[in-house]
Amino acid sequence: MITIEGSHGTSVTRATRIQVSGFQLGTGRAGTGVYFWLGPYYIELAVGWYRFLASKNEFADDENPTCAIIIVDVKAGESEVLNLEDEELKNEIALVVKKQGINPRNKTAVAKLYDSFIMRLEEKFKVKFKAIKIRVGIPPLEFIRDYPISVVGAPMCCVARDTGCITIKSMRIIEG
Amino acid sequence: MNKETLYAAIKSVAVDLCAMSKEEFDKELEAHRDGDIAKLLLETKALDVGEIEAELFDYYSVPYAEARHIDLCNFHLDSSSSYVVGHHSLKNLMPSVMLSTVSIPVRSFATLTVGWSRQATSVRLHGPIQMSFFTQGMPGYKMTRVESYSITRKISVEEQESFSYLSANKPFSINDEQEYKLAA
Repeated sequence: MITIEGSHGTSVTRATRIQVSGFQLGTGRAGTGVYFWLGPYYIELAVGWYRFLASKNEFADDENPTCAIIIVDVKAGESEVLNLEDEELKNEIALVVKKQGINPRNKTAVAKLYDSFIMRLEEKFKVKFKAIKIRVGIPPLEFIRDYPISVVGAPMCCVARDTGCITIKSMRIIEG
Repeated sequence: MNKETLYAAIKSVAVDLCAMSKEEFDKELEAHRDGDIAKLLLETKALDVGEIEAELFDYYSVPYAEARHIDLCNFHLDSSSSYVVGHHSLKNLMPSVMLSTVSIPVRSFATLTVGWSRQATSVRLHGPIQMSFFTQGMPGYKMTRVESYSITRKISVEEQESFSYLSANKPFSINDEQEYKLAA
């Protein structure tokens, strides 16, 4: 069993609801899953992401739109966590890209290939990946000025695909 | 199930996908148009990360004077072989890149071209120098050779007791055969 500590930025209203009812798997634009920031800057990233969403009025209708950061543990068996940054995995996918002549700049095609690859991998490996670790883009810099991308690179995030593996540890309210 | 089993499965999936005809493969991709992983990758800009990070290659446009103070000191000289090996930092030049190993046949002169990306760091070899790098604080990133490079330096090796000191002097081009011969 491995434990991954992560953070999730949202409003106090929503965080309170999550504390009571737990995380719900949404089927939003980014697919099914709950997203958590990882690494030493996980609080800053969660706050940055909250601020980014707040700038788009995401929380405007919430009773208490103040920023809240939920800290969680994602727990799953070692074989139930897939690291999409794994070198072996990337190399094999790159091999398919090359063999099948996919234009690497065609991100839609590459994304579909990853999807196919992971689904097939789950089938072969006879496992359902409950959590996926992946390096993602950072929130716009104006919302997270101090993130040292030149030192740590783009941030890692964990996508929990099974809410049963999420344990809420604490909640912090960030004023201002 | 362990990593070996996972990697065997990964290879097996790759073999299956590679073996598909173009028609089959196109159908396979189309079937995953709305898959969760596909959405995840597109919406989180995960596939853009490499390109975003590549912008850090602006290092390459840094004026030479700002990048000339490479200090590769304290190389341990292994007297039992013709190589010096050490662990050194290029922090002053490339803050997130650590030079992890270097082996240099003991000669008075050599040249190298150093380049790096967020995902890979390598050197283009001119003369008898071998180096490998890792990106500091990024354990997922492995040593991989790439062909990108930009910084060319003349490296002189001076032996002092059991250590060798390397220092960057001035820009040097391997094409400058005359200078190479003079220095060598």
